[in-house]
Amino acid sequence: MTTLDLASVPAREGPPHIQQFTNPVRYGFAALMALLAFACIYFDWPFAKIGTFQPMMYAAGVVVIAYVIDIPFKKLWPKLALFDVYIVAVAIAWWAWYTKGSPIDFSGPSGALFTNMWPFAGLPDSVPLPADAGFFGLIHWVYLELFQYIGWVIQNAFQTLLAGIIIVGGILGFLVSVVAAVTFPWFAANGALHILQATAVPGLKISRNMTIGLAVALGLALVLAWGAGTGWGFYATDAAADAAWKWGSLFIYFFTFAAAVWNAPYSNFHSKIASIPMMFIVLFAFVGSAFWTVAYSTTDAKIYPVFNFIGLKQYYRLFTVDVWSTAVHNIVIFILLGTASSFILGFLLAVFMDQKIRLEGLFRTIYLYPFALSFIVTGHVWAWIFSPTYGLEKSIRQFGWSNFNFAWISDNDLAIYCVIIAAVWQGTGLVMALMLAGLRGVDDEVWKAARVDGIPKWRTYIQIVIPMMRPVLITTFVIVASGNFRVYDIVVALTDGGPGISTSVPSQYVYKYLFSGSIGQGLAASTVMLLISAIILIPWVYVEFVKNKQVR
Amino acid sequence: MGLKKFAAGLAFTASLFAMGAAKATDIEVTHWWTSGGEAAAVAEFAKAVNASGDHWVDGAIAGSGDVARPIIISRILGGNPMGATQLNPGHDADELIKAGLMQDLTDVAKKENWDGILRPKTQLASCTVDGKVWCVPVNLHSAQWLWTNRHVYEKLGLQPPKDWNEFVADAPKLKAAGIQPMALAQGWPVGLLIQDLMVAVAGVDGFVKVYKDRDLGVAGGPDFAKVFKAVEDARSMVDPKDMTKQWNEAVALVITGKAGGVVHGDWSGGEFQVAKMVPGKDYDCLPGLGLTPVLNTGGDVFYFPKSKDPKITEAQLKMASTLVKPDVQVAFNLKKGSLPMRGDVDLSAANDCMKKGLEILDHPKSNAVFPNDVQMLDRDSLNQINDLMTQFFSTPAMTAADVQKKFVDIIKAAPPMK
Repeated sequence: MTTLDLASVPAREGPPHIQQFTNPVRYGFAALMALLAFACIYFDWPFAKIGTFQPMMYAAGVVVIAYVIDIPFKKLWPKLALFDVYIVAVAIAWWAWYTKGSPIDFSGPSGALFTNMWPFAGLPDSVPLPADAGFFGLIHWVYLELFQYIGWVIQNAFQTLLAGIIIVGGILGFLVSVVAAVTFPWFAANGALHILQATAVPGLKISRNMTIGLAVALGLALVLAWGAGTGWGFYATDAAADAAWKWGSLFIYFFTFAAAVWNAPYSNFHSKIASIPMMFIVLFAFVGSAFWTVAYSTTDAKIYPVFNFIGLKQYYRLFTVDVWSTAVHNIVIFILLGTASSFILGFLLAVFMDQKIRLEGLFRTIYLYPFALSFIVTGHVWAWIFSPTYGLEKSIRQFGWSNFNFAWISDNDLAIYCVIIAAVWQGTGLVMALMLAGLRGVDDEVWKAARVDGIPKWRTYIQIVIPMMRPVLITTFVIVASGNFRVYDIVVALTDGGPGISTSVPSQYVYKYLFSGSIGQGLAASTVMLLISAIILIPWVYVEFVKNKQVR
Repeated sequence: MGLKKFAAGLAFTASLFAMGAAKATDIEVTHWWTSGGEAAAVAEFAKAVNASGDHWVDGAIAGSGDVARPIIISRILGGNPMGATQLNPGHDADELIKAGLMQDLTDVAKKENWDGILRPKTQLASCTVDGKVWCVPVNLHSAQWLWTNRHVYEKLGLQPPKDWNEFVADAPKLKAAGIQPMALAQGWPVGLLIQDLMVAVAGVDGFVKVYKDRDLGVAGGPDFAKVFKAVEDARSMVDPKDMTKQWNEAVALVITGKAGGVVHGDWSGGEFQVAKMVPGKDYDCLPGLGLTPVLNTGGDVFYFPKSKDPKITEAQLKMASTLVKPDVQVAFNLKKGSLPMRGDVDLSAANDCMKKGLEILDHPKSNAVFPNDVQMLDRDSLNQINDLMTQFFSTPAMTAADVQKKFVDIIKAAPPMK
């Protein structure tokens, strides 16, 4: 009879943050996991449909599997930091493929909404595997499944894109689960033996053969349990199959968690746990929503997102309406002219401020002040200024210049420049502030050297200072250009897209159709916006963050 | 003894408080009635609901239906429903009803015999989906009105116009005198003007054939070609500089005599009412632009999003029946400038404009009362038509033939209505 003395168990080897992960914490966690595993089996959790628990349990399982297989990959490819997120994403994609559109069984309207939004709804059901299939039967079944899948793809000519993503996800997910199935018994066995060593059998010497033996046993249990679950007919009676399924699953669950615990310290468990919410937010809120947007842009969803597939008709309509082509035309002008103007003006102002002038603080505040206003306020104020009946035109006429004309805002071709003027007025201060920070970052020695060499000031700016400010310039450009790309509120406040449709911009089009009766059309437009920004941003991200890092 | 009495009194008082607390349920009502006449009208509803023992919490959304509708719908979809909300009759809420997010009003409707007392039938019919009643129609609005300021014409020594054609003919003289011939607001009022011209020029038959029966031959035919020619006339009457941002600003230009007239719905009547102007003396109202006296059955309805709180459900059902009570209907519609939903009310206080409308409604000539656009075409297609029309109106380079071709395309692509 041995007593449990956790303190006497040697701490795990490894870097300091791993050693901090004390034995009581580890084993406490293991006990909790075991309890959870038991509860899973006892209440039949992952297998019965009990509302919200089911997806949660699946997700938890997916995360655990991801940690189990985390280590060999980390060793192979230690620098790929996002690998975990990738694994989880792929595993979830695989899960979604496997369960085929019936993962959630909520009742009530919110459930209906959620189920309708689920991008995998509408995939065909899987063919049940015959009990007497045998090995070749199994292969045939896999073929059938794939075939049905491909048939479905062909049937819905469009969904090829969506399905392509799912197929790739599915294949990768399948590979991942194969790797998991092979590596899992090893890690699980290792974990279990160490738990044993720490608790029941303190003097246990863990040998390689012992680990391999347990791993083989685990693998067998896995096959038996899964066999029972899928009805392979190994078992004489249903009761026996049921028992094998249940206890085999319990076994698997327990060792899964054991493996997770054992491997945890090596994968910096704390930070992983802490980043789970972030991973879920990234996956569901950003990646998931983007995916959902693309999927539903191929439907005729009106006021309510229902997956009623109509192919690329929304895109066809989008590219044939004048409002959208005007909007695209406007945004190009807006980005080119607006960004360039606020850049040049902002830089000149920054240079001016950099001349060690008096009252610099005052000027800086004045220039930066418009930026403190919201776009809505800016838009309304400039709407009054531009308005021929209240604004500039009327004032100057009252001063005596009676045939003065300034009605750009009601001119189809010129109204967009009014929007640009207002936006530049607002945005220049920020550019100035950022540029000024960049200019101040240039070492005085550079200036002294230039002066000694007799280089004129303007040449120093253009040939020395500006190249030195490259990082600031790029950051500023991205901030200003992306702000210009999604311009919305200033247009709404200033012209509301008028006169007619002449100052429409893409985000306004998206909003208008998304929220008043044509979700499909709004989503098609936002997909195009997403594509455009991806085309612009991805090369920049690559150059700035990937290529430059390699050079350094 | 004394103590016992005291206790009984205490209990009684307590029960009174309890009853009071149970009865006064807050019911948040969203609507987009924010102009002078509209706000005065909606106050009548609030008064009636408060008098019935509940508490009206006003949720006015400034702007127009185009602004408010998305907010209302996304609040209901997002699981944060209001107690009641204004919408237009039609198919805006169909998908919400199908998703089970709306309160069923069938029992109230049956009990109070809405089917028998509310007219015309089209209004209740557009509240009825799958044989159940989901909304309560509160008023009838028609869009086909030409409003003119008599004083403007009289000052110039002109006879105030009796129809659209005279109105167009007088335009140059007003322009010469420095007065805007026609006031117009940006955005949806442009679409409304063009739709009014469709009805007035192509006739009710033509309009219904295109919008309801999707007759592409009529949409692309000579009658609609005339419509778009008339739009070109209208375009020449409005300087883009003078277009206002809101419809009530355009009406205000007519009220103050800065513009000769405006084509807009009967809700403009409320603004004239607030300005204390008298129809026939200070201003004229010409249904069907004076060409053909017609009335479409637009209007407003109230929907009650489903609530988990039984108290709110109870208050909703009570409010639904309050809104169609005769005295409430009269008080509301007099202020609003719209027509009441029931014929069995005393409207001796109604002004001449309302009486003109009631005359058409109660003694309709063939086809004079016809469905509203949202009852015939989905909101998405209407939005597209609206975009096209605002573009046409502000782009002199665009010809009537161009716009007609695009109009036919939209009608062709419109999904069928149940």
